[in-house]
This record gives sequence, C-alpha cells and structure tokens, in this order.
Amino acid sequence: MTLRFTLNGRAVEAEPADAEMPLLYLLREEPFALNGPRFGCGLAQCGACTVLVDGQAVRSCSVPAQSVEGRGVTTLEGLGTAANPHPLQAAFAAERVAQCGYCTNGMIMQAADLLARNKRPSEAEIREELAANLCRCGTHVRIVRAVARAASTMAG
Amino acid sequence: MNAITADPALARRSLLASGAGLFVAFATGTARGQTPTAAPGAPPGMAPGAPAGPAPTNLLDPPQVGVDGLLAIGADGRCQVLTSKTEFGQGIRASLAQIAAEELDLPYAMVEVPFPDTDRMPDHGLTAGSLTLQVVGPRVRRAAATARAALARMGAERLGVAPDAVETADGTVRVSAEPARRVPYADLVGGKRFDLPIDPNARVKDPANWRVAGRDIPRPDVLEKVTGGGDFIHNVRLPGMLHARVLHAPRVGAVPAAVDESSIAAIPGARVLRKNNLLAVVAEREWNAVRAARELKVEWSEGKPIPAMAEVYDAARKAPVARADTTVDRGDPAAALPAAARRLEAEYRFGVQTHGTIGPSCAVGQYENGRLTLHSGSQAPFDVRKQVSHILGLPPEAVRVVYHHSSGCFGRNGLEDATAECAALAMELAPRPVRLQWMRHDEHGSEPKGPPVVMALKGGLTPQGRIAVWEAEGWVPHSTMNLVRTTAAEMLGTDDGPPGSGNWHANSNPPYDGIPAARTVMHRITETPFRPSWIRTPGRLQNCFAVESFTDELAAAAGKDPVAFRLEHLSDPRGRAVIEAAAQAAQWDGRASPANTQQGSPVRRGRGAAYIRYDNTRTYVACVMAAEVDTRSGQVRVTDCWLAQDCGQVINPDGVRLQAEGCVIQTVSRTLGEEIRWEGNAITTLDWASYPLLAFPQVPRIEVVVLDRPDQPMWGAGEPAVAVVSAAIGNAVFDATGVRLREVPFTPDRVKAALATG
Repeated sequence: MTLRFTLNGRAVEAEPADAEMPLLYLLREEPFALNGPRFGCGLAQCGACTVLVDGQAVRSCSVPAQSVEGRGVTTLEGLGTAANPHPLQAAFAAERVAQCGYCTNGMIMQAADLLARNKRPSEAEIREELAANLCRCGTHVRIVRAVARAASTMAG
Repeated sequence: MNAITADPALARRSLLASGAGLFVAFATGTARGQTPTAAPGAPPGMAPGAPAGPAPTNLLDPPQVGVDGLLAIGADGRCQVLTSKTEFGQGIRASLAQIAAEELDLPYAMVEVPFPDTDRMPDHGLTAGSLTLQVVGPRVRRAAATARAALARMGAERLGVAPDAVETADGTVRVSAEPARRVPYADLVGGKRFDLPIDPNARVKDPANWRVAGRDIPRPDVLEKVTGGGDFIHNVRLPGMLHARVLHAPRVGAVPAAVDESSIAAIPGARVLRKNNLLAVVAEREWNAVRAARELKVEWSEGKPIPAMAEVYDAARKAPVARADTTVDRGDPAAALPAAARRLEAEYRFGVQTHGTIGPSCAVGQYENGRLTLHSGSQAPFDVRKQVSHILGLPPEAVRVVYHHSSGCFGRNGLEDATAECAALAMELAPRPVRLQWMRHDEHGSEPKGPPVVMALKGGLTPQGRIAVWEAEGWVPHSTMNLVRTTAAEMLGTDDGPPGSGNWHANSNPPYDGIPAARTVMHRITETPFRPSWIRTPGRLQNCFAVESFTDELAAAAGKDPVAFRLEHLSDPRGRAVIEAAAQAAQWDGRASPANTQQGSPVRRGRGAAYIRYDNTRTYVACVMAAEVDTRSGQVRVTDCWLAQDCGQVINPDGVRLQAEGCVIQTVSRTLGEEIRWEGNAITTLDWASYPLLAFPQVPRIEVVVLDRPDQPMWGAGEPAVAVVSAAIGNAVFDATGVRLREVPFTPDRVKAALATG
C-alpha cells in the first residue's frame, strides 16, 4: 500500500509498516530521516511531534501515516532553514528561547497554525493555544514573547 | 596528583591511574564520630559542620591537565574548549567559549565547545551540582591565559621584535606600535600542540576590560535547534541500525516469569532478545519494535513490596540509617528549647517526583573490532563508561562514550539506564548498531526518582520574638551521588560499581547565623521505595522548603514581617543584599502574615519570601512569590515571582536569567502538581495526564534581578534558584489564607483539607 503525499513541498511516496503506523515514525525513518518532529510521549499529550497537515497542527505520534494520503505535510524543516528561517524560527532565535530545545518544534508548529488563523493574538490567546504543549526547561515566558514577535513581523 | 601532561591520551591514563574515578564522600560533611569542621568558604558565623556540597573528586577538583588537555587551536585558527561537561540546554557551551575567547583575544565565533567524547576530553566529572562554571570556568580561563602568553612569545619571535613589543587582538599577535605587522594564531600554533603546563600565575584580564565575557552573547545553537537540526541523541542514525525497546517491569522488583515469543510472530522482522532479566524486542523498523514491545505477552513476577503512599514518610523515619550528618551544631538546643518563651513544632514532607524529561531516554550502541561505541545523552560520559565496563566485564578503554545533546534531564534520569541497556544489546547484536529509545511509560515508570523527604523541626522564640533555638532532624537517601545503579545491572544481575554517598543533607541547616542555639541531624537512609536519584537541586529544594517554611512559621508566631525577620537573623551582607533586592523588586509590604483582610473573598491573594545560600558556600538566592488561593476548589495559582540572585562573577547575564526563569517555572510545576503515585508496588502515574506539568496559562510573570559581582569567583546558576520556590509559595499561601501547607505538592485536595482543618 504505497502512500502518496506532499512533504515540505515535494511529492513523495512511502510504504508504512502497517495501517496503524503513526506518521511520526515514517517521517523520522529513512529515506526522510527528518529531525524536526520528535517523539515525546506517543500519546498526543506533549506536542513535541507536531507537524502541519494541510496547514493544521497535528500530533504526528497519534495519527496514522495513511491518513495523509494525498495531503500536504509540513515539518519544521519545511517551515524554514537556518539560512532562511521562517519568522517564527527567527523570533525564537531572537528571543533566545531554547534551553534544551526538544519541545521547540511543537511550539513553533502549533504557533504557525495559530498565526495562520489569528494574525494578532493576545498574550492570553497565545498561552491558550500552547496549553497542550509541554516544556520542561521552563522557557514559556520567552516562547510567548517569541510568538508575539513573529506575529508582528508577519503582520508587517 | 600534579603530573602535568599535554597529551590528552596520557592525561586520561594518568587520570585513571590516579584513581580519579574513586568515590570520595565529602570534603567536609560531618559524619558520625567526627569533629565538625567549618566548610571552606563558609561565611563568618556559619556553624561548624555546614556541608560544603557535592563531592566526588572529579566534580569539585578534577586532575590538572596541560593547556592541550583543555584547548586546541586548529589549522584554521579556530579554538576548541575540551571538557567532559555536557550541554543540555543550560548554556555552558556559550559561557565556556566566552571565557576562552576573552582570555585568548579571539572573536567569540572562533571558539567552540564540542560535545564530550571519552576518547578525547579530560574527565571533569559529571555535569551536575551547578559546578561547571565554578570548577571548569577558572581552569579554562587559566589555560587560555597561558596559551595567550605563549602565543605572544611565539609571535614576537616570528615578527622579530622584543616580547614586550607585541599585543594580541582578534586572533593575531601584532606589533603594538605597528598594528599592521601581525601574525595570526593559526600560523603560530594551528593544528599543533602547546606542550605547556597551565601557568597558575598567567595574567588574566580585569573584568573591567572584558569585551566578550560578561555580555549577553546569544548561544551558538539556537537557530539550529529551531530549524530542525541539532545534534540530539535521538537523531543519531547509523547505517544498518536496528531498533530496540526494552520491557521494564510494571512493578518494583518484578522479573519476567514467562515470555510468549509467538505473540509477536506476525510482526515483520521483530524478535525477542533476552539476557537474564533484560528483556527486549528488536526490529529493523522502529515502529515494528514499538508494536512488538506493546504486543509481547509477558508474565511478570509479583516483585517486592514497598510502603504505601500514605506510609512512605513514616517508613523513611524507620528505615535503616547508613550514617547521620550533623549539618549545624551551635549552642545548646536541648537546654534552650524548654527555656524558650514560645515553642513551635512541625513536620514537612516532599513527595516522590520524576525528572519529567520531554524526550524519553535514548542511546545508540555498536560493538565492533573489540570496541564498544556508545552514543549517549548521559550527563556523565565517563561515569557511564565506568558503569558499562563493570556490567559487561570490558576494560574501560574498550568502551567509548560519545555525547549528543539530550532532552533536558535535570539530574540523573533514564539516560544512563538506556545507555547501559543499549550497551548490553549491542554486544548481543554485534556488529550491527542498535538504537534504543524508551517510551513515555518507561521514563515515568522506570527512571530513578526524586525520593520522599521528611524533616521534623522544633523552634523557640525569645520574649522579643527572636529565634532562640532551632532543632531539626530529617531523613534523606544515602546513595545517590554519583552513581545510581543502572536498570541494566539490575536486570542482568551484575554489578556496576560502588555507589556514592549523595548530598541530600545539603542546606538542611537554617541559613541564619543569628540563631544562638541550633542543631540539625540528617539521617541517611538506605531504603527508599524507588531507586533514589539526584533531581534538580537535590535536597536543597526539599530541605529549604522545610527550613524556610518553618522560619516563616516562627516569624508569624513572633508577629513580625517575614522579610524583616529574616534580615534580623542574618549578618552575611551578600545574603542580605539578595533578600533586599527581591523584596524591593516585589514592592514588599512590610507586615506580618497572614494578611487577614480578605476573609469574605473566596479567592485570596498573598505573598511569601524565601532565601538560601546554596550549599552554604556559594550562590545566594532570594525570592518573593505572589499566589492566589481559590478556597472553593483548593487551586493555588502563582501569579508573580520576583527573584534576586548573586552567583558571583557573571559570564553571560542572559544565560543566568534564562536559567533562573526555568528554575522558577519548573519548580512551580513541581510544587503545585507533580507527584509520582503508586498502588501496591506499581507506579500508576505513567503519562502526562496523570503526572501533569504546569501549562502555559498557569505560568507566572517572572522578574529576575542578577546582582553581578565581577570581582568575585563565578558560581553556578543552574540549580540554586529552584531551592527557594516551594517555600516561598507555601509562605504566600499562608499569607493569603492563614493556613500552612507542609506537604509538596500542594494539590487541591491537600489545600482543601488544610483549609478545612485550619
């Protein structure tokens, strides 16, 4: 059962191990070998694995790879690069957000979904949007600042 | 050991020969039968016997190495700083690079701190205790200063001028009077060795002239982390790599009694691998290994009984004691207590907690050509190498540990276990490499835990409301530092080396020299329900919660403003300065607690303070917390934190602030909601739903005041700010409600119960 979808703007094919195999494992194994989405809990409780499916933030640890047939998947790598970062990535760097950085993928991807729906979120709206994304290092205050910064950059 | 060698390999061998890995208990901890001695650097008035802090030798005083053991300048002129200390988000790579760049007169971008590799780095001990800058920072500074002086000499010779006619700048040696006449460092020593001992008298810069150190220089790796790269241990992929999952016992002490291998026969490429009680599944594709671990039918033995949750503190008080540490012994408390005008007693408890690492523990191992290479996220590369070599019966040189960035571990979580388990699997699967990652339930259920801690205190006041007497005893685990026995050693039935003695007794003394009679005895117990581990700010957090809450009880009994009360008993000017700075930032209203003005309101607001000098010898922290208590639901919400810290000379002010913010948020989370729960001998909090972390909407506003002391030694900032958080929140709840919370976490049920009994 060959799966066809668009990954970071490129048409790709893949063979999931079975119908249940979560998208996360497919993205992280060869040939894609992506590092942006990360395994945190496998239970859709922490957000470290978040990717965008047709622009919507999705916990890739808990959706079957098969569910993205014909759809567009964007990972942290597809959002921007170190040389050409997305405004959210640039804002996270400018606000010196990351400590360990493991959760950062989910924070950025969830915020990307938010900013697509809400160009000028309030601080409370940002906090609510990220309520199901966990950070152990305690960088929350800076994450909120970074999302607000990216929002004003993107809104021009 | 004074042998100085410039060859890292030689340095490593002599380091091993000198017994650098031996566990030496405490420099100054007072064991039973010993005469208490003052800790080095203890402030005047600090009691004899005050513990000096953590102690395996390499942590506090690693063996000296030559310049080449700490620094290498490549053919491209770039400098590498070599250390076994691991970066997992605390920012040490930036700070150590700033120190080296400053003293070498190199641009910051030309200095890097590569991840540790036991084949290449000197053993500076594990990364713990907020000791990296304190211990390694000055060594790097002296090595860089020695190197800069040597470069100046070489440069002068190359340029044909007198040694005093040159200066160093931007990675070059140049003639002071003719700056265009210059030679880059790369031409002098690039790719070559210095072959020099570190000169303890090498001239270091006056902080007033710093251009790189002491500044908010961004970390080198942030952009990489936020764009998908990042050398995380989880991202290591080797050609031909297999994927494994280890099945951990669902109950303490249980072992696999029966395994039905046919239960995973339908999963492509999946198979069982068993060695003694180490039970694993292996597959070519990771998902198939995950499925196999989930579907494998295993019957587990019952395991061993542990105390019920409700009895765990009483059990601690009755547990076998390895030794007792007297952490303060001043005056005659036994005589002073009955004579006090007013007496108080209380017992404080701190629950079992997990490190809560977001990325579960992971390792990749390969045994090939007689050598085992382990890719690990362990904060203790050399220690884990020692443990693995013990477990597998390999000589230490046959094991190489290469560090990769981990997900924030905040102490000894499951990374060492995963590394040792992976090592055992790699031996079986050789020469193929194998990647092992734990699942969420492995991390919550099988990593070692922050143990239950209990302290019983008595205090007495003078008629004037000063503390006349303090008497306390506490129960803390004995063996945590610096090795926790690995799951692999348990499951394989082998040994992984001698345990250390731990330092859970630290900061169990009141930090106030104005108490004339004080005695605290900490019983070091040998049995806890789960493997005890060090977890961010071990002992100091739990002990400071008891000590600073009880100080607040005494202040309230005396009818005094809790901040003024603390200052009344403290002479140390730097300690007073942080208390005053936090109070000023918070616009502290100097009055006694509780507030007593909001009886009609269901949501009551209060503020509380707490203070610590870390280990009694280093970083000072004070904070004020503002909290709201919903008396209907029992919910406590921390709204604001004002924190002041003096960690001596500051290398990266933003790094210090970032650590302080993280300390506050993480510990608000631990204080309000985090507790490992169990039924029988099985942990039931195996995910984030049952062990929730503080979420964005509950995160308080935080203001950090850093008191920079450029003329003082540098101390750590990764842990100290944690210590004051629980006590300050408890004190704020008391201020709001008049009710004292004496057990962490402050769950709504506990708050409601406390409110009901007043």
